[in-house]
Formats: sequence, structure tokens, C-alpha cells
Amino acid sequence: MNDAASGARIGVFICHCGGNISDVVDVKRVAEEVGKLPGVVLSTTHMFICSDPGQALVESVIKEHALDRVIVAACSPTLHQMTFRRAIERAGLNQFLFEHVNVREQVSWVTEDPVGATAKATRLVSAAVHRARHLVALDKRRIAIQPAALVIGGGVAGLVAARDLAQRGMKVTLVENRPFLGGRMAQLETVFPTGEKARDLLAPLIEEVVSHKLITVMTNAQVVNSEGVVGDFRTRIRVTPRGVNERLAYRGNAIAACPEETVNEFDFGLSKRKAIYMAYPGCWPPMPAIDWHTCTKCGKCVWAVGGKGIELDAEPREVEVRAGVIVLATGYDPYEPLYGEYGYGIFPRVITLQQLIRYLDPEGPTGGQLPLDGASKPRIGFIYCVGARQIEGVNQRQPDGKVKDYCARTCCTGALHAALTIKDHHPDATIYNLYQDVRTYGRGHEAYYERASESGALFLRFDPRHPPRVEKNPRGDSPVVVQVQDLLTDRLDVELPLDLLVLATGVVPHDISELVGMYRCAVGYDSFLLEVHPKLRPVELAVSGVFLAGCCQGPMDITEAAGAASAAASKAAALIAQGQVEMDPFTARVNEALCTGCQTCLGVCPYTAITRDPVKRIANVNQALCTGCGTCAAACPSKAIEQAGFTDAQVLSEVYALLADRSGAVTA
Amino acid sequence: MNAVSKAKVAMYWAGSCGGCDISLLEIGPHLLELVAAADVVFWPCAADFKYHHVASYPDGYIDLCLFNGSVRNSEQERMARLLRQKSKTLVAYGACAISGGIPALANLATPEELFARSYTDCPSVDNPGGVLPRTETESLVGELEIPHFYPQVLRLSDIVEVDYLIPGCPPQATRVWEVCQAFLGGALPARAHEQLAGCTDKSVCDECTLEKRLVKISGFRRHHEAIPEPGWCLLEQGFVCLGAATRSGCGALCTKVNMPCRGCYGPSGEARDQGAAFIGALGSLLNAELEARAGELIDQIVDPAGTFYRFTMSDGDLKGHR
Ligand SMILES: Cc1cc2nc3c(=O)[nH]c(=O)nc-3n(C[C@H](O)[C@H](O)[C@H](O)COP(=O)(O)OP(=O)(O)OC[C@H]3O[C@@H](n4cnc5c(N)ncnc54)[C@H](O)[C@@H]3O)c2cc1C
Ligand code: SF4
Ligand code: SF4
Repeated sequence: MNDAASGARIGVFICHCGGNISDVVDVKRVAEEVGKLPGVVLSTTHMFICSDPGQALVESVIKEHALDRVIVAACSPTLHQMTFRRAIERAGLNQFLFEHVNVREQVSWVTEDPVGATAKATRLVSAAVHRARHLVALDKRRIAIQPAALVIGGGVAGLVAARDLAQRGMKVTLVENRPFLGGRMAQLETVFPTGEKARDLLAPLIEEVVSHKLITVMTNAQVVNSEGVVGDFRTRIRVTPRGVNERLAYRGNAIAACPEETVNEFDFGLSKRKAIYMAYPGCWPPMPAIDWHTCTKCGKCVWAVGGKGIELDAEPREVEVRAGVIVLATGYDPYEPLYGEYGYGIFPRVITLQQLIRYLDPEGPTGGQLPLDGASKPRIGFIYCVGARQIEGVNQRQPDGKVKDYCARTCCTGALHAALTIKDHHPDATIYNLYQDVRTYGRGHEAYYERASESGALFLRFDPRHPPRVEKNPRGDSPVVVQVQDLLTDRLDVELPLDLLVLATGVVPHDISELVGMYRCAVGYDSFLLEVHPKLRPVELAVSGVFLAGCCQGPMDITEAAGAASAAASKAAALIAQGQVEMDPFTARVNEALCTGCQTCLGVCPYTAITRDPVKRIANVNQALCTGCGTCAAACPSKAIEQAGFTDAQVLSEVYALLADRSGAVTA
Repeated sequence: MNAVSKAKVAMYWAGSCGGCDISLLEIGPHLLELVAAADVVFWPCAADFKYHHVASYPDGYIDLCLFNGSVRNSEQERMARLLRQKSKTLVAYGACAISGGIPALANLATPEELFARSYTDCPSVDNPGGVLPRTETESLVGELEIPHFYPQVLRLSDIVEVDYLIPGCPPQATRVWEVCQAFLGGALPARAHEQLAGCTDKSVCDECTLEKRLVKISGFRRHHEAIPEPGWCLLEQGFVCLGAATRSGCGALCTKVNMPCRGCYGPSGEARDQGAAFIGALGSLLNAELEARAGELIDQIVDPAGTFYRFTMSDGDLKGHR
């Protein structure tokens, strides 16, 4: 082992943290005990070692005593490790000849026992001394950043992120796996809180994106594989052929000629579409696409357009995109109620809010007509929080074994907005809102609640542990009847015959398990992607260089999704602007003399950083790809891989010191 | 060593099967070269030497002593100490002397369990009185004392300072002769600290020619249960082959004839604990996404402790019962 073990000159600094540590830990005592260890040249305490005078002390002591290792026992390394690394570097020492010991969060804050705390602190710092003897100087890795971004998902969030990045001069590739851009927003009719038409808002944004010369848009495109790390992600993208090209002149003829029909997912099953289809009026790209699952390649569309513009035999192609940063904007899916949940699936007049919005859309499946079976004074009910804020033990578990216990945030205002739209068309309709809480939290959202109340809509509040029951109407004067106990009238049992029941369904993350694996994303309990910190680093994933935009991170309305997308774009652009990333040097290195080329390590590296050198017949670690996870070092049966910063000598000396008997005698 | 007096060599057989003695004979015609260049002053297996002969030698009289076998009883310990005293260079020869070898598998049981098994419980034993060996026995010629049985099988280095280790069960003759040549040529410094000889720094995979296909292991088989596909890495085929975690020097003899490596040369590279090193590697080679599946696969391995520590039970972190 090439550790510089002997002859170390170690300086130890123990922080009072203004009493945070010293009120429990006898820091003077710790300094004294540790000061007796061989190699410790100086061991002292300081009131606030992270303060300017504290850092200055560290620097001057290093020079004065010619220290070559420094140990600071203080707060958590996440807080101040960098502070001290920089300080010792200013004093001319390599920053990795430093050990940080946490005696606050892991000692003084977790006990009131001063004797035990002092003993534990002493032991931790002693272990650091043993480890420090084996530290060696290391150099940071520097990786140049590709000035390009890959945005995955072409909903409003992905579109905004792509536009903002391009506006900052970055090259952007936008990948959408459906044949058309726009995401879920395109399926909305008018949007709260402005009342503008969703697709009217989308159109100029899409136009801006597709016409920007720095943006390449790929639709029908799936990410199949990704290699590399921040600065240089290499992503393989498979583009499924559209089946249609620009030369198609009579698209209406082609669609009309197609004999194959399938459920139209854009209308949530309320209508059918052909195998060759356009998703929605004004969609981009403005030409049809062929759905290969439905198409039988009968050739009728080709014949109908005179053979021009349709390619039934085009092959998928794969391209590699190199990008310095990745923005994930893969959005959400509406919650699909379980069969029988509030009568869903049993009664055709029980529909979801998403379906209601499609019905209300003048360009939708019914031209804006609701399925009221001719009822003159329609009675329409809404049940809120369906597939949201569920309670373990009350609600049935979802297929993933969990209940959806989070608030979906868009359904309250969305449902009220829809209810008001209904009122506009059917002033004589009676609207019943069966809710747990009305959470019109956003700016301008409360107005929907007020207006709904004023419009005469009725509000009945139910206890989530006793949700409403939906049954067939025995009298037959309406398709369904809902029984609900109303908390607002002291638990009066109310029976509501309804012509239409709308389930204000929540949202779930779109299934991106393959991307989660590829980019090693953190996922929260609610299955949405998890940011590093909700307040301080809200649009970053823990994987460096990967950012979050929109509803892949949790339920958001368009305002929030677009805001998050802009934030992600500016964080990503700021990273690219640095030109290079610095990375810790704790990578795996193969000892060529010991490696046999058994290839055990090849399969274990989660980052595909290891390849086999065919000439030397041994393993080789790509230092740019290695994240220092240490898996290979553990797997190598010959211990031929050493991880810088975590060598056997370093780790074992620390472990032995921690396990040493109370007299302080250690075995290594 | 000088021209006038020939070098003195010795070979001793402690707790082992005798294969090591045979492996020294296996150097064949070179044996003649060896005895031409050196006097054999102690080799109970090959010539009639008694304890008192050795005791009468001056200290450091023997230039090279090859000590094979583990230390399981008081006689073996006494011989180890005596030979250390009389030898300039003491070599732990073979797996038993280095790390306990096959005898050390007994470390998984207590002496009481071992005695019960050997002298009463074993189906082929007829011992109605339940007689167990005793250290002292009255006989016609007076009280006899046989060596004391130790609770554990120990390595030679647990008893005395050892200069060199020649691994293998047994060490391969060609490698043994190489070490002898080095000794005779004066290239082997008299004192060293447990320095390996007669082997390489790499693992058996280095000398093995079977092809890796980088597929994960989907199930384990023992070699009497299936015939391996020729040319393909045995471990990948599910035969527990310890080659990757075993020091090379043998010339990959076993895998050349499609037998999985049993690990007799001990840990490779910088690994200290062969069993742990192999387990570490094995864990990453299983075709199992889920822990439960990994558990099922591991359950297919018969006698994991005896398999992974077959030759190193006295050596690794798993020191048998205690
Ligand atoms: C019932 C309801 C009503 C709503 N009404 C309003 C409203 O009135 N006003 C408002 O502000 N908000 C409203 N919202 C919220 C609004 O729909 C969202 O905020 C918005 O659509 C989120 O956009 P997004 O880009 O994050 O996600 P999405 O719109 O879901 O876009 C994600 C895109 O990524 C694509 N994608 C997914 N996975 C991949 C992959 N692996 N590779 C490539 N592409 C992929 C998808 O195909 C999709 O195009 C409503 C929500 C609901 C549920
Ligand atoms: S596991 Fe170890 S010995 Fe095997 S190829 Fe990798 S580095 Fe080399
Ligand atoms: S430490 Fe090893 S396994 Fe982990 S990323 Fe680096 S090379 Fe791959």
C-alpha cells in the first residue's frame, strides 16, 4: 500500500461550537487525550473554529508547526468540511490531508451524558488520528462540460426548460416519447386561474421551441441507455418512425381511409381514433403519426393519398446525444380509480375529472356536450380527493402496495373550475361538492371557491374515514345515488340522486422506472422524483447534473410547473457556464501488479466505468466515469482495486482504533 | 553456505496427510541434484532420524527446514519450536502449515464433538464402553503419555516465526524445485517475514484459459451433478470455483481438466481472508435483483464455510468455533 504512514505531523482542533459541543463534551479533556497519541504535534480547542479567526488559527498553526495532517472535530462535515479543506489549502497543504470528525450532530446533540459523550468524542477523534496517518495528497478531477442540455419530456415544463436554456445560448435536445408535444396541458380546456384556453397558451410556446435554431425536437423518441456523468452524459435515443413525412398532402384522406380504430387516450377513452391520427387540433408536429400497435400495414392510407408521404416500412433509428446536463420533465398521469371505487367502472355515469374536462372541451369528443341523458335540470356531483390524501386502513391499497396519501393539489381548483364551466352552460344545473377540505391554495384559486359558493353550488363535507357510497338508484330516476354523511349539518345522512358523478381524481407520477435506474434518481415515498432539498436545492437531483422540472417531482399546476422549469433551466445553465466540473478524487484504481483480469468487477460497476484492457488483460477504471461508490473495491477477490481516500490501511486503522479497548491500545 | 560444508536441509511432517512429503519427492530427478548439493539432516518420512538427533544439533544448524502440516497437538508444537531453534530458515510448506488446511475444517467443531464423532457416534465404530483417548495411560511398562490434543488447529506461524510460505495442497513440484534452486543458488535470504514463495502475485484466473462471458450466475451445481461446458468459466456456469480468489502458481491445473478450483493456494493479491474475498466477489456475480433471490441462490451452496475456507480456516477472520 502506498500510504505515507509514518512520520506524520498531525494537528487536532476541537470546536466548542459556542457551547453546542462543549456543554456536553469536555473538549479540553478530548484535546488532552488525543494530544498523547503518536504523531499528534498539537491538539487544541477553539470557541468557533469555523469563524474567520478560527480558520486563521488553523492556517497559522499549520505553518508554524509544519503540520502535514489536520483534523477538525466540530459539526457535520456536510456543513464545514469544505471550509476547512479550503483553509488548509490556503496554508499550502493538500486539501485531502484533512479529516473532519462530527462531534456535534453525532455526539453532543444526541446525549446529555457528559462522561459518555467525552469518551465517544475521544474515541472518534483518536480513530481519525489513526486514519490521518495513512492519508495521502490527492488531486481533484476536472471534467469539461459539454455546453448542451438534454430535456426529457415535451409537456409545458419541458418546453419552458428547453426554451429558457436555448435563450441562454445552450444547445438543447428535447425528447418526447409521444408523437406530439404539449403533454397533459394540451388535454385541458380552459385553465385556472386565468380562464385562458390551454392550447392557445401552448401554441406560441411550442412555436418558440420548435423554431429556435438551438433546439432539436425529437418526438416518438425514447431514451434507451445513458452513460457518463455530469459534464458529459451520453444518452442513446431510439426514434420510432412516425410513418408520415412532410410530403403528405391530404392528411384528412389518409385518416379517413384507415380502417383500424382504437381507444383515444387523449380523450381518456371517451372516443376512438384511427391508427393514423392527429392527437388534437393544432398539435405539433402538424402532421399525423401512425400508432404501430394498431396499424396493420394494410396500405389503405397510402393508396388514399396517392402513395406520397406515408412510409409504412421505415425502421427505428438510434442516435446518441451528448449533453452536459439533463432536465427531467416527464410529468404525471391522472390517477385511474380502481374498479368499483365510488362506482367507477360499474356505472357509466361515474367519470373522472379528466374525462369531464374532455367533455367540456368544444373541440372534445362530444363538442362540449355533457353526457346527461337529456336531463333538464341536471344534478351533478363531485367527489374530491379521489386517489389523494388516502388513509392507510380506510382506502384500498394501490397495486404498488401503498395508499396515495399526498394531496394532488390540482383537483380542488380544477374541479371548482369545471363546476363553474358547467354552470355557465347549464345555469339550472345543481352542483354538489362532496369534499374533505377545499384546498384552493394558489394565487387566484380562492376566487373559484367563492364564485362556486355564490353560484349556489352545494358543499357537503365528509369524514375521510366514512367516505360517500355510490349505488344504483333503486327508484330509477337517475343513474346513481350517493349516500353521504355531512359533517357541516352535524352528520346528517344525505342521499343524492345524480345524473353525473365526477371523481376529482389526483395525479400519480408517470412511470419512468427505466430513467430512474439510468440516472439513479432518488424517489420519494410518494413515488415522485426527490430533490436534494425542498427549500435550498428544490430543482436538483442528488445525481450531479440532473435537474427536475414540473410534475415529475410532484403535483403542480401549470404556473408552478413552468416556474420549476425556469428554475431548472437556470441552474442547468449556470452549471454549464462553469465550463468544467470539479469532482472529488475518491475514485477506484486498479493495481496492475495484482489484477488478474478475472473481470469480477466489470459487471458490478453501476456506472459502467470499468473495462478490460485487452492487451494487458486486466481491468481498467475510467476515472471520469467512476463515482467512487466503492462497489468494485469490495468485489475484487484479489483486493487489487483500491479506492482513493478509502484505502484498506485508512479504513482498517480507523476501525481498529474505534474498536480498541478502553486503555486505547490498538492492534493496527 | 560455503563450499566445504554442504547445506543442511530438513523436511518435517506435522498435522497433515503426507501429500506434502510426496510433493517433495515429485521433484523427481531433481532430488538427486538436491541431495548432491545439500545434506538431508532430518526427514522422518524418507530416512531414519529421531528426535534426539535433531535436539543434538547446534542452534541454526539446519539451513532450510520445510515444515509441512498444521499444529494440533503438543508434540507438533514441540517439533515446531525445536526446528525453529535449529534452523536458519523455516518454511511453512503447504496449506496446512500456512493456514490450517483441510485439518482445520475441524475447527468448526469442538474437541468434544470431534471425539464423540470419531470414537462413539460414527456408524462404523464399535465402542460399547465409550472409551475415549486419554493423555496418560498406565501400561505394563509404566505410565505412557501421548501428546495433548489442542482445542484448535493452529498455523505454524501461530507458534513460531516463519520465514517463507510455500502455498498449495500440495505445493506443485515445479514450483518447489524453483524455490530449492533459489535456495541452493543463494538467492533466498535466510530470514524473511512470512514471505510467499513458489507462487505468483496474481490469482488462478491469470493462468486459467476458460472464457468469461460476463453472464451472472443463475444457479449453483456441484461437479458430480453436471458436466461443465468446455471452454467456459466454471464459476459463470454455477460451479463454485474459487480461482478468482486464489493465488496462482499451480498452473490452473484443476480448471484445465474442468474441475473447479478449490482454493488450495490461499488468498490472492492483497486479500487476507480468502473466504470473505470470495464471498464479496460472489455476491456481485449472482443473477439476482432481489435479496430473496440471492438468498435462494446462496442456499444452493452446500457447506459454504467448508467450501470458502477449505484451506484457510485457521487463517481467516472466521476462525471456527470459539
Ligand atoms: C384534472 C387536472 C386539471 C388541471 N387543470 C389545470 C389548470 O386549469 N391550470 C393549471 O395551471 N394546471 C392545471 N393542471 C395541472 C397541469 O396539468 C400540470 O401542471 C402540467 O400539465 C404539468 O406539465 P408537465 O410538463 O410537468 O407534465 P406533462 O404535462 O405530464 O408532460 C410530461 C411530458 O413528458 C413526456 N414523457 C413522459 N415520460 C417520458 C419519457 N420517458 N421520455 C420522453 N418523454 C416522456 C410525456 O409524454 C409528456 O408529454 C391540472 C391537472 C389536472 C390533473
Ligand atoms: S475484480 Fe480485481 S482482479 Fe478481477 S479484474 Fe477486477 S480488478 Fe482485476
Ligand atoms: S468505485 Fe468501482 S464500481 Fe464504483 S463507480 Fe468507481 S469503478 Fe465503478
